[in-house]
Amino acid sequence: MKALKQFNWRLTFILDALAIVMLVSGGTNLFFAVVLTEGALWMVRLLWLSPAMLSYILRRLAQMVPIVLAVLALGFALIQLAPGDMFSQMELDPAISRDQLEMFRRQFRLDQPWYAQFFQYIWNALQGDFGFSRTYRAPVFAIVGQRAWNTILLSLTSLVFAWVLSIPMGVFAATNQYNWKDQFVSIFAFFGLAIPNFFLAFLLLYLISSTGNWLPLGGMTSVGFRNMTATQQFFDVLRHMIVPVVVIGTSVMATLTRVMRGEMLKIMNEQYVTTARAKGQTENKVVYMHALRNAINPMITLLGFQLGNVMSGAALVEIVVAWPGLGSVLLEAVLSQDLYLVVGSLVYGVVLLVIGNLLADIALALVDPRVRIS
Amino acid sequence: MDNVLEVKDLATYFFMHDYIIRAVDGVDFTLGRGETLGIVGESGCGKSITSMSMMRLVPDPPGRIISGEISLKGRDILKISDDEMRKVRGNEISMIFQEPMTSLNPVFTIGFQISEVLRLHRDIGKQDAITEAARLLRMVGMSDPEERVNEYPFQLSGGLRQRAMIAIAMACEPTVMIADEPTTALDVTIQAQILRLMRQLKETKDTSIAFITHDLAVIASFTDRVMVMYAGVAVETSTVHEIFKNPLHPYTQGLLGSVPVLGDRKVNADGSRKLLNAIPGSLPDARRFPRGCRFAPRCPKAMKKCWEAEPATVEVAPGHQVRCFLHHDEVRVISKRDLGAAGKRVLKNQQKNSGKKKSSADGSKTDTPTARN
Repeated sequence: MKALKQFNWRLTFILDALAIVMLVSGGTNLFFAVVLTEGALWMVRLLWLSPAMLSYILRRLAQMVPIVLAVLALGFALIQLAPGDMFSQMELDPAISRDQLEMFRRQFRLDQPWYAQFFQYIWNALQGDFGFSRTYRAPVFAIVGQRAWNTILLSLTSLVFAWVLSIPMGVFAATNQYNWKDQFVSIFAFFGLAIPNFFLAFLLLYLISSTGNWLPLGGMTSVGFRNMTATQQFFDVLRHMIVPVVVIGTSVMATLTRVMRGEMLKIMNEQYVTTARAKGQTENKVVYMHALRNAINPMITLLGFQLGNVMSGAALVEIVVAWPGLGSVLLEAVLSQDLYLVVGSLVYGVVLLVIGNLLADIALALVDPRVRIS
Repeated sequence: MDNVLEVKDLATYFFMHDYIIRAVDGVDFTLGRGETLGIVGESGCGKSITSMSMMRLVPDPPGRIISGEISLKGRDILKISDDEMRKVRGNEISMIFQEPMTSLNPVFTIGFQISEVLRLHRDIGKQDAITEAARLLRMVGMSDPEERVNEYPFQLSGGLRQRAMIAIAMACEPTVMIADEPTTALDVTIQAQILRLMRQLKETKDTSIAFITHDLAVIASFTDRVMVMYAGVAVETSTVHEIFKNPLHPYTQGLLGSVPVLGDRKVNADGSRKLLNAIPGSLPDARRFPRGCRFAPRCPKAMKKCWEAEPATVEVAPGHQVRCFLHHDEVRVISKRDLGAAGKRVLKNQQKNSGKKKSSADGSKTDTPTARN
């Protein structure tokens, strides 16, 4: 049993390495396969740690169904409340006859009440058909799928960026409470909180363009992306990501740093921190092992909410830096009342939010035995 | 009995923005091998700060040990480096705290937390340390220690957690163990078990214990000698027998008098309800102690002299020291204390403030920190 557990750990590390190799060399399908295998291994590990967690996860996934249905119904109902529909503009076009418009509307089921659209949509969705976007003239699934991947890539990288910086910054501020180092970090954090994301994006773009365009100013790929080797492609996307990641990351980091600082200050006053010192433990280990392990819990809870927040917050930045993400698609879809595209994007957002929360719960269970065992 | 620990003129001050809290202000005591010294006093009298000072764990800033000598087996641990002090903590001096509910880290297993102290001070591998932790848990009377090492603190009751804390404290077989009200948060039956365990360990390992409490019943049953503290100083030190039979200091007398006695008449001769003998008033403000004896404002036997000078600690009978003019005439000679940069900063802020509000500066003027010492 023990050897098996060790093997599980080792396998995960190997798969981690493999996933990075896949990502760099551009084998997208293989990358996903590796990630999925790793997910399964984590599930197995979780089962060892706590059998109760698995039923909890399954329950949470089941709870997702009514939530998604409710959001769908709301989506269909709200769109009908707005005056006109996606074909209203065509009514002015003398080249299109009334009969033709009627036919279009029937095709997109716009002549039916919202609940009929809703049930038909679910029936079709179960068969893998998520509707057709009129503005993009493509199936919704294809549009959202590619765009969603771009947005996830951007959001996750921003979150990682924010976490990696905010934890040491928060700890640093807390261990230097009220002196100039703490003040400096706090000012930095408040700056990040106060400045609007899109404005910071403009500011950075202005700075880059006025100092000699040393970073791409927009988009996700350079001209000639298709002719690059996989490694070149990887670094090309990375270079394009820097500005949006810094912009989105800064605001997330600001919140996280403040939370981390406050949490750390609270924990450092706990009795068990004194116990650790009384054992003769070094100050570094007292802070980074005994205190940090406890201070991290609220951060993980926050992570669940933030995943959703960052995705929607990314929309504005995506538009500013012309990142081909979901933000611009959703905006266009709503403006042109592209019914199925709106609904598709909504579903995607909700699913991500629920999964994000679920992942945060699982992470919390892994970190905190009180959650895992009771 | 040779002394393993000698504390001389220990003073720990807290340097706040514009005032100084003299939490511990010149405490002397000794601790013999295998001896248990009880430290009693009401809340806020400096008991816990004394124990934290012995571990050099007073949070700095604002606290600082500004004078004194704590010699552990002849070595002054106030003079050694931080790294050397880390080797002393948990190894030669260990500590148990009041709240077993919060003194163990909730996210690590009991086994890990015990093995941590072993691995810090002993050359021992991870697996051996866990085995040793299980042995220690058996020693403190826990059943199924091999299972318990894998459990987390929240899975244990208060009494078991305190046993785990004792296992941590005893892991390296320290010379001195400081127990800061280890039984206060426990119910009475568990309290008795824990005390029995501590006595048993003390006798087998020959550990000296500094036992801090405000529970006189525990003092009477558990300790060899007692030090009574009041407002940052020790007012009386003697054997437990002497303290209870022949208390000399009015504060000790008041403390003992305030314990209810079972079977005592609850009604006075004239029919009125008999009240518990409480010491009137409360501890003086540690920012501004009275000029003379610190107990004088509450003392039923205060004389004119008590208001003018502070008594010294004098041994009036073999092993019985008392700090009171009723028993001797010696005036305390306070050694000059260097308050350092922090003291200067406080003084500056004080002057700045008194400049702002001149009208209220009458009383505080006489008691600036440097004026007194």
